[in-house]
Amino acid sequence: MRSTRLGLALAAMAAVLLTACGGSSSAGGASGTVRLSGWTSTPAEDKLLTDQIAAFQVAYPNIKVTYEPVPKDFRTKLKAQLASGTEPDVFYVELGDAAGFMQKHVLLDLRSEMAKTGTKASDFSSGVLAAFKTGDAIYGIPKDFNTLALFYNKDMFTAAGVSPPTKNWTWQDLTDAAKKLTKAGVFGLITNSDSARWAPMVYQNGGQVLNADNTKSMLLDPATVEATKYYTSFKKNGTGTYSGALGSGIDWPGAAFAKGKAAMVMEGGWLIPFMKDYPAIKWDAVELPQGKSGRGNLVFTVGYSISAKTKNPDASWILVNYLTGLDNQKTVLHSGFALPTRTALANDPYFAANPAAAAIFAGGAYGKPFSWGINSGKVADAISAALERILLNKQSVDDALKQADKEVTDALAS
Amino acid sequence: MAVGTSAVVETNTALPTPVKVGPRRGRPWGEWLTSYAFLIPAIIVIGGFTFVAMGVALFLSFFKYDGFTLEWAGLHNYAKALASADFHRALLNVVYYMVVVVTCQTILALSMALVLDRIMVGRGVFRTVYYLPAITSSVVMGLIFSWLFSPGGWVGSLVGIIIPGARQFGWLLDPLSALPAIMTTTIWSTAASFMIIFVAGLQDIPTHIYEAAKIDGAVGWRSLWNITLPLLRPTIFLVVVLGTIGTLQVFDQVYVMTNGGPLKSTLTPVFLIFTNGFRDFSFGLGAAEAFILFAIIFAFTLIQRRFIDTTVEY
Amino acid sequence: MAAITVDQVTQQPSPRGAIIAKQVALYVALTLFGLLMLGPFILAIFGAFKNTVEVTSYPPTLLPQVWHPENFLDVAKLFPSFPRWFLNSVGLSATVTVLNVFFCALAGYAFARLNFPGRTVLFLAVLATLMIPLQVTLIPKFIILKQFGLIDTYPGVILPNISTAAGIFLMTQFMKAIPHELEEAAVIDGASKWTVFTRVVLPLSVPALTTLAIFSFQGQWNDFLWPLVVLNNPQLFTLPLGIASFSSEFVQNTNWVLVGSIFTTVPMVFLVLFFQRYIIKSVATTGGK
Repeated sequence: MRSTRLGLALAAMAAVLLTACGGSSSAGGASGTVRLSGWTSTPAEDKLLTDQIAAFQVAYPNIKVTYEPVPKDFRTKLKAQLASGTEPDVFYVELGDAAGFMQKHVLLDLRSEMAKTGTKASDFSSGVLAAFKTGDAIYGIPKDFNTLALFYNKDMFTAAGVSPPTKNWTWQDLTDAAKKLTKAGVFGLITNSDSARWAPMVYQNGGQVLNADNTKSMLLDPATVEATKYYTSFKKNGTGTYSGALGSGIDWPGAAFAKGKAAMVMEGGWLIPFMKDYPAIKWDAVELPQGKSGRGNLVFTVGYSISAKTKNPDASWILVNYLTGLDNQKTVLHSGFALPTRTALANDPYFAANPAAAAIFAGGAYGKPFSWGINSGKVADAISAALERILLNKQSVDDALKQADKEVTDALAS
Repeated sequence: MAVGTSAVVETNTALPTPVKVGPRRGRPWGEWLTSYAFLIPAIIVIGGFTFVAMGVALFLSFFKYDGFTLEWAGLHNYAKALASADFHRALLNVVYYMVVVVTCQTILALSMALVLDRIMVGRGVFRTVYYLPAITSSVVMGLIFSWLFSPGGWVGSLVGIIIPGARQFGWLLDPLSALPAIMTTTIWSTAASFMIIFVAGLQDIPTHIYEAAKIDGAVGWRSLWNITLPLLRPTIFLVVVLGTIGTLQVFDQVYVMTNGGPLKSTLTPVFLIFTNGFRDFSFGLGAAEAFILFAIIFAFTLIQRRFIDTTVEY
Repeated sequence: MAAITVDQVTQQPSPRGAIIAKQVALYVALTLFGLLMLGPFILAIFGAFKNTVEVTSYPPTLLPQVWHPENFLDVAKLFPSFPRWFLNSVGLSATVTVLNVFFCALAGYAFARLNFPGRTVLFLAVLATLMIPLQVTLIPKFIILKQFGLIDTYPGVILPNISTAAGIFLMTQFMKAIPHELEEAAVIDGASKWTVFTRVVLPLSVPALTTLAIFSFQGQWNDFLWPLVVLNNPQLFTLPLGIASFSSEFVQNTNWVLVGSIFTTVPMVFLVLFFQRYIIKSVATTGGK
């Protein structure tokens, strides 16, 4: 078995080398129609994608791509399509659905296709690819990703006489800075009842949310409890708050940051284009501070997957491989829209020029996917509800976590 | 007509017995066939499509269905739904919501229609202006009102003029005010919708009845109470039942404005159904919840039918 | 001839001034209330002329500090399919309206005036279809649609709406309220059910038919989820689907969304303004016989 696989891999590599040397970019034979579907984004990003598809059509004239954009409620539509067997050949898979889809055998195992074009799992950032793997099987190729970074307001730090954050900051540095930066109408750090902002701190403290195979709740793990106490301590001490409490129409931490109500926020790459509308704020971003167990982060990603029932696996793979290819990912990176998932681009000059993007990219190496198995939704609900109760002073951390632990255990059992 | 007696007599049948003319020849097959002929197109569409879909959903409620595979579950989904604290909370929320919204929107819609009936100049303009809120889709409405209700937004600013300090209040962020804020959003638009139904309904009341009643001294409030309202019963029934059915299934506003929070104060059954079905791969559970809700809606409708839907004859 | 009561004799006629004052007060109240109803729209319209930052600024401004009429042009430029979405919506909505009004009128007449076995049960069954949310029937309906091969087609989009339970309910209730005398007269004259329906009942139902037409058009015009799920080809998209692409999850172009909302709402405004004139008393209810 191993030798056959090795043999295949060698043959595939040889084929790729030969075609590359030959200068032609068409993998002979694959043809047909491929339906591609995903949600729409900003007009500029959408244009990038449609341009890439157009270029693909030129390079592979035998493969016809039908692009079916979905403006909203993509998940609802996709599930209706899957239930009726009318899904597209290639579609976006978000983290919340990945575990479930993999478990239900909805997606094509891409390994045999990858071998045909010589694409290797190691081409991609392992922390990010992990979201689409079950064991050794690969069910999706991440097209871009995001993590969280610590964004800070440079002017506020200068005014308070505090050295700005660095990537070597620890929890203690964070606590101290938040205290010094809190004054009338301005808070040091924003901490919402969002499980996706709380989880990195849990990981930084060596805690867990669920156990390794997502079958058991670990919310009462002492390290997790300690991290929760730390996360909610900012609100408790008045050095931080949740964005809803700030008024002025602020409905997410990014808005609080942009309107100068917060010195630091933990957000992802989406904050960067948002801040372009607020040139008055001088900001920068570094990796999240380290806890007693070192670094921790969450990875948010979307992947291209192929339907297990596709009639055109070869052509579908060629499309996916093209769209996530090195050149295309480089273009996307330089456009500032999203971060690439290929390790080869880790040292791209773009990062030297954009330290914030570099800080976010770095999280991909050690971050864990924002997914807790097929019951992710219910687990996140229970945690967010618990954080809400703590932040609104309705329950102590211990009681809130006990309740969440029970809810999660019930959810996992069904 | 004797003075002082009510001009109307009520019968208690829900659907009136029509006049039959001609010799009776056993079963009126002809009439039955004609009736069915009138109904066929509508029934084919609703029956063939929606009703069958409902049947499929009922079938699915007895299974664990994740969108791909079926696994027999018997009454497990129903038991789970009935035992779920979230579902209980959602039902309580939505009944509270229904009572307040249906009452307010019906009274408001009727009042607006009655007032509009009294003016002559500019009636068309006012009708259109008052109907505008009904034109907005519930999603756009949710977005606009989220913006209005945000801390420091318009609602806060206006209230802040009277109650200092209320300006930055987060209407959608406080467990006690979030659902009422959504109620306001709904009433603003559905009152307009139902107003037009009442306007149309008022046109069907023959003016000669008002004139006859005026001679008897029934004007103003008495006229309203003894003549207009009883004659509007079918319309009132329509508005109340549609309102009940609609409010008990509220979803869009919650989805756009609050996502079920804060602290589950705006959680509704359909929101849970959506989450169970489309996020958590549990369509069977969602279907069971839907049929429990169905039973509740149906019960309300039957009660309303018993008390409101009587036909008025002379 | 009714006897005259003591009450009537002692009633004083109101002085003219009081009548005018009452009318003025009424109009003032109507206008103020109208402003309240229009408030969100006015804010939305002004918002469409603001830039992204000002539209979410606090405290909120009424008039834009700087007017940006180019928002409308930007939207047209960035979304060249806009006119197509508009026409798609118009076509679909008009078709659904005509069919729905016709079928619901037929069914409403049957439920309101005709007697046949199973009438009550059937009526309640029709009503029952309103009591299950779309979130539950979406997938079964979609699977049924697939069996008919109607996915990604317009017939597939409008099929559930060409005869709605709410429409049938509305027509039934309105037709029940029509006085019997005119129909009875026609039947005595030997008219068939169909003639009674077309010559007597339908003309009397113009307010109801107009109302249903407005609701049907509006329902289809604003319908989002079902067209989203059924249609794959972006060329077939309707206006709400197109406008949904104005804002993505992380970039809220609220001002663009407001521009889109204005485009969606304005045609409906004209429609209502035009059609509401038919919601009037018909000859039968004013003249009597």
